[in-house]
Amino acid sequence: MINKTPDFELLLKEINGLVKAPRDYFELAAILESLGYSDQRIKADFGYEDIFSFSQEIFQQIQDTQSANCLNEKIVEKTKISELFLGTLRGVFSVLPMIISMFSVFLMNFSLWSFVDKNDSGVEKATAIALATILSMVATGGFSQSFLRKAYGLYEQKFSKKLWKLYIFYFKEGLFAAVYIAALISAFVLFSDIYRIKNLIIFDVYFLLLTAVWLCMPILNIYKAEGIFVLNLGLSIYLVYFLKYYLCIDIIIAQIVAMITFVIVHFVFIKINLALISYKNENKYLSANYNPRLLFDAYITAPYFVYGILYYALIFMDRLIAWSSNIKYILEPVLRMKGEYDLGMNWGIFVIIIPAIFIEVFVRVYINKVFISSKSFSVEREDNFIKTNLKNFTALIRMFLVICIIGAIVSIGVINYTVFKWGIELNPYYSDISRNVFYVSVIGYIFIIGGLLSNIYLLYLSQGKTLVRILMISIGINFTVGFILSRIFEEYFACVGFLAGAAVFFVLSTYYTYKVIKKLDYYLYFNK
Amino acid sequence: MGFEENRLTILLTTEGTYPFNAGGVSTWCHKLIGEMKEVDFSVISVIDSPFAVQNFTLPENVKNFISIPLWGTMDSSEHLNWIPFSNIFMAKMQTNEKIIKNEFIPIFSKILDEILGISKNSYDFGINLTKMYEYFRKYDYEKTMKAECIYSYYKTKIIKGIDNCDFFYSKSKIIPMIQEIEESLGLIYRFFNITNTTIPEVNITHSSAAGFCGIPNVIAKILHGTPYLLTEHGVYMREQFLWTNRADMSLFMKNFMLSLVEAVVRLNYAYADLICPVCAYNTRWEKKFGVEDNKINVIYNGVDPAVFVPEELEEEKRKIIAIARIDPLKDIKNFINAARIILDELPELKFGVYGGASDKKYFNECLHLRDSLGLKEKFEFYGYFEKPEKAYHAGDIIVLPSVSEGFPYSVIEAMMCKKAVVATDVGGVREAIGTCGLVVPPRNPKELANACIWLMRNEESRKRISEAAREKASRIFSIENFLNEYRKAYESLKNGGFAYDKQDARF
Repeated sequence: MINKTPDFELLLKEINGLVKAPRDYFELAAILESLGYSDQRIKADFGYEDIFSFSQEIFQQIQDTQSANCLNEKIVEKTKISELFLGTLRGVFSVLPMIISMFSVFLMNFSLWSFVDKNDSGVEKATAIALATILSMVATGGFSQSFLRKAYGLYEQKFSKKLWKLYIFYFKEGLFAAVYIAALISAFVLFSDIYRIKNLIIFDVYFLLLTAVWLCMPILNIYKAEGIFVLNLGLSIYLVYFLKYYLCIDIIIAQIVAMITFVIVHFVFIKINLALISYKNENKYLSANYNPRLLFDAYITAPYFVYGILYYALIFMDRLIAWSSNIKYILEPVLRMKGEYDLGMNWGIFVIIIPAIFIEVFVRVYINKVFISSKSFSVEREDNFIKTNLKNFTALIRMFLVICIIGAIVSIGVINYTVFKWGIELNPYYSDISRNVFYVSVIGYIFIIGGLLSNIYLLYLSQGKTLVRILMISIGINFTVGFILSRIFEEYFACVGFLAGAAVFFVLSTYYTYKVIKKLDYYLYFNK
Repeated sequence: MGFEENRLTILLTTEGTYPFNAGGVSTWCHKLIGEMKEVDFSVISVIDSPFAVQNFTLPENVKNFISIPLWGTMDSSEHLNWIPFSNIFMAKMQTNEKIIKNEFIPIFSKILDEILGISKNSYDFGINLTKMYEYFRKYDYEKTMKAECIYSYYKTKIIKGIDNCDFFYSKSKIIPMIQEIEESLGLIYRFFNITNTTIPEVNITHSSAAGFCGIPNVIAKILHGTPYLLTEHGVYMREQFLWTNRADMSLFMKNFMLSLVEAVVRLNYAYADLICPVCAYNTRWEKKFGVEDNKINVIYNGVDPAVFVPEELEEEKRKIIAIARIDPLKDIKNFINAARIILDELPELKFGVYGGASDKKYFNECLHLRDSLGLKEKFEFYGYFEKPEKAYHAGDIIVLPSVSEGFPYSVIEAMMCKKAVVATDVGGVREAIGTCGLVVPPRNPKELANACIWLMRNEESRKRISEAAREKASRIFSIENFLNEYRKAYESLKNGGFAYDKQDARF
């Protein structure tokens, strides 16, 4: 029988504050020992043989004084406004490079468009540059995705030095891969003699430099420092302007100098960042046995590597189809850039600007809702959990599509009242074909960005193989439809292939996301 | 494997300590391995991350070192560096849903019964863990544990268990949330990756904790009959009770963790041939958890009397110091409050703490308390000091104001340095000090202060106590004693049974 002295009541109060719904008296014994009680003290203060016997006595009392309401807590959390604001801001920064590039290219005439003659030689030069641009994105897509896959874990665990080492490794590997690809293509061109050597050199230089430029982005994504990329890009564009208009340097040379400067500035930033990061305990990284094997890493990140390549392949497949066909030479193997076609497709990219600003917010909101619902529904109410998440996703997709449509209306309006109005004055390649291709591409890009939203959820839930499957089917449709139509009709019908592929991409991405949501609890575990 | 013939081979398993994190257990491991040059060791270290900083260079007699990171890897086989990737790839290809359902789920079901059940059957648990280990010699851990059928099976079992009074949550009427299902299975996936690691064949296994690092030892015993020695520094189960109460966890998760840990602790206690806690105080818990008396043999920590030597010239410093981490369990605030009381009587004294701040928030609270009591000029924090043997000579009295301890090295090191010790009566402190120092109640700055004042005012008594402390430490807590005790223990286990001479007591 406990003698309920004031000391005892105080002790009971203290224990109630420290432990919620104790499991058994052992738990109380541990708490008592942590409060400094020993067997001797318990005996002296309360007359019990030892802590364990005392704990057994008070266990029931503790349980009775604690309310049953604490047993099943309900979590009520909402996405913070600040998170939404920051997400939107990051979205703005992520599309700024695109806006700046398009502004400089289309409205300032700051591109190959303005300086390339419409003769055969000029087209070949433009083809070299455009092909270098496309291939550089395809080549770096895989490395970026693989890096991001591994890097987020390191970033969250704050292993900064390891993270930077990993980034340098991926940067080097990406560049080496680009060198091999450039060598292969160069060998083919030299032996087949289908292009001028001068343009081959332009291709190689642009390809390698643009690869380096795109490889600068992933580390900035990890550290949420896309603004650095934007700043660096703006400075580079200004440098081109300065070299071209003040020093009268050829535009190609000016762009090459600007790209080199971009990469140098990026690495200066990295060095400064490395110096600022504090390496608490990381300087002595000495783990005797642990060293991730390259083959193992490659195996784990392979689906994401392939995804990164295939995503850009989907975006640009139609260009290669259009460039490889010619009304004179139906089976011509040589790529010739079709300026009118490319102009229309490039203008279409404007449509993704507005949705791209909000995509991160949508992703964050949905993931938060998923977490909240997983804490709010008991395991017996799994059906309701699934239904709620399906409903949330449907609402999100609908809202996102509305934003995409708004984006489409805005971009059509802007393009109509600027680019189309100035027409051939702005760009010598402007024509009705460009305009028609533009309208088709707008719909296609809406599907692409809509599908991308679902892709991000699938990436988050580590569904790399599913994403590869979606892209392979979409690319297949893109290629098949585009190739057939461009050969039967005109090369510009390749954009219909793009539209078909994009539509399939959207449908499949959404379908598989719904499939995953129907087993969401399992996939949340799978992602652990 | 690198073992020489005819040399004793021992597998030492650690958890969150050696050779990565500094602390008492790591120091103990390093001394044990480093001084026992006649033994070949394998070390399996269970750690939280693959990028843990290794603070100890492994001695030459460590022939094999395996670290098992429980978190931070993208695949559960990532740490198996010695296994060719082709073998791992083949295991992944061989693992399919049919194999998982037919061969793994029956084992998994029994393991879940043990984890989730209120009553524990440690012997069956050990056998099922061994079956799990054998399964993962052929099949892939990642593919198995992340299979949809495993998740579905687990979820169904949890749901059925809601009305089954044998499971811990049904008794407490806690209905788990979906997130708790994912999280709890996620913990099982992480912790039991230990069974995915090949265990070297040795003469004896030795675990430094009755936790997850003891699982390879249990499996080795079942598979090969390898004798198992368990050393308990703290009491693993008690530490988990304290940790789960401090952590921000739901009730289901807290009870899940405790149920899981209890299963593992009892497993270790059941299969260990010999349990050697570092102090008699810890044996109380072991006995409460069903360990037979004849399986327990206390082996105290030991310090090197050639390193921790008395001062050559003993001169009064008018200083009281503590050598401890700045941590809530060390209760430095108790020392600070006591310092205020002491200064009212002996205003010429100074105070200091040698130790790193493992808890920044707590450290700031200590600084604030010190300043608010007007002790800024009198009470100093010196930070981590690499040579503690020199730090002990900075003061006349060594204080340990902790609220919780196992068998603290700082007390026996101070005694070996011929210093008078005032320490709180927690854990094995009273066993260590006995009459060779002053033991006071914890969380009582007045008692702590009175003991320090008495010692500072009574120089002769202080000298007598410190001499007795040195004599006791040399006799009982020397590193030679510590090593000899373990040599005897290894010898008795190597010969196939525990025949330890309990008559050879020094108390």
